[in-house]
Amino acid sequence: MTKNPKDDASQIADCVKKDTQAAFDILSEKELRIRLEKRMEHELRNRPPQGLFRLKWSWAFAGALTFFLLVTIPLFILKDSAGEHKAHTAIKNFLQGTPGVQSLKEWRELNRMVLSVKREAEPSFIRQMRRSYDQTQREGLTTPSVVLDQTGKDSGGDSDTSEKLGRMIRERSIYRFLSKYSKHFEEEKNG
Amino acid sequence: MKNSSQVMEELMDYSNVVFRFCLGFVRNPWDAEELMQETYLRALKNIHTLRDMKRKKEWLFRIARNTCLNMVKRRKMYDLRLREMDVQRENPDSPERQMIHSEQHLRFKDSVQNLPTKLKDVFLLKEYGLLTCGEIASALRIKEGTVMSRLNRARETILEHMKEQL
Repeated sequence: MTKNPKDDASQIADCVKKDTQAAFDILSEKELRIRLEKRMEHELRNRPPQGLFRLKWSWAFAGALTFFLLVTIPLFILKDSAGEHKAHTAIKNFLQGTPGVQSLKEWRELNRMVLSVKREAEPSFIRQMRRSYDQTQREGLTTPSVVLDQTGKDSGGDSDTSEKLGRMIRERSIYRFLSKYSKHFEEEKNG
Repeated sequence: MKNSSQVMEELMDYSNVVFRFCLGFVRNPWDAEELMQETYLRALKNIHTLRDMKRKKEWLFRIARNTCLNMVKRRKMYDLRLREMDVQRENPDSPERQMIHSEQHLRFKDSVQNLPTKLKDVFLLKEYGLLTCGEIASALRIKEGTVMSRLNRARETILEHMKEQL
C-alpha cells in the first residue's frame, strides 16, 4: 500500500491549523500587535546614545585622526616653543629656595676665603722667590739667548750674562723644590 | 530610499506570521510571543544590515529562526511547565486550554520538536510561517529542490512519530 502525500500534508495542515487557532484564541492578533508596538516604543525610548565604538570603523578612525590633528599636535608645538623655558625657570626657582643649594654657595665662599688666607700666610721667602723668578724671567726675555755648556757656564760670552743665567737656573730649581715641598706640606696638614 | 522606521513599519505587518513561526518552536503562545518580540527587537537593532528591500520578509524570518534556536537552546524553556500550570489554575476548563493540553496536540508538538534542525526549519517556515518554497530557499540560502525534499521528509517523519506514539 502506497502512502498518499496529499493526505499526509492535509493531516499535518490540520494539526498546524488547530495549534495556531488555539494560540490566537488565547492571544488575539490585535493584542499581540499592540503589545509588540508598546515594547518597540519602549525600547526606542530607552535606547542608549550611539557612542564612538558603535560607529563604523571608518568614522571612528576619522574622528580619532581629527582629534589628534586638532588637539595633540598643537599641544606638542606649544611645548616646544615656550614650555621648555618655563620648565627651566621653574626648576631654577625651586632649587634656589632649597637649603642644600644655599649651603653649597656658602661653602664655596668659605673655601675661597680660606684659600686667600692661605696664600697670605705663605712663607715670605717663597713669595720673594716667586717675585724674583718672575722678574728674572721678564729680564731673560729681553736679553739675547746664550748657549751654555754642561756646567752651566757660558762657552765664551759675556761674564755678567752667564752669571745672571746661572743664578736664574739655580733660583728656578730652588723655587720648584720649595713649591713642591709647600704643596706636600699643605696636603699633609689637610690630611 | 526608505528610512529605518518606515521599513520597520512594513516589517510589523508580518508580526502574525512571525508569531505563528515562533509558535512552532515552542509549546505555548506566551513563549511564542516573547520570541516574536525578541525577533523584532533584533531586527530593529540590525536594520542597517538589510540591503535588499525586496527580501525583507526572508531577512526577518532568518532573524526569527536564529532567535528561536538561540533562545530555545539557552533557556530550554525552563518556565514552560510553570506557565502551563498557571494557565490550568486560571481557567482549566476553557476549550482553548483543553486544546493545548490534548493528547493529539502534544503528540504533534513532540514530533515537531524532535525533528532534525534542517527539516524543522523548512517545515516551520512552510507550515507555520506560510512562506513559499522560493522564500524559504532564499531565507535559508538553499535550493528550492532541497526545500521541497526536506519538507516531504519532515512531514513523513512527523506522521511516523505520531503513529509510533499511538
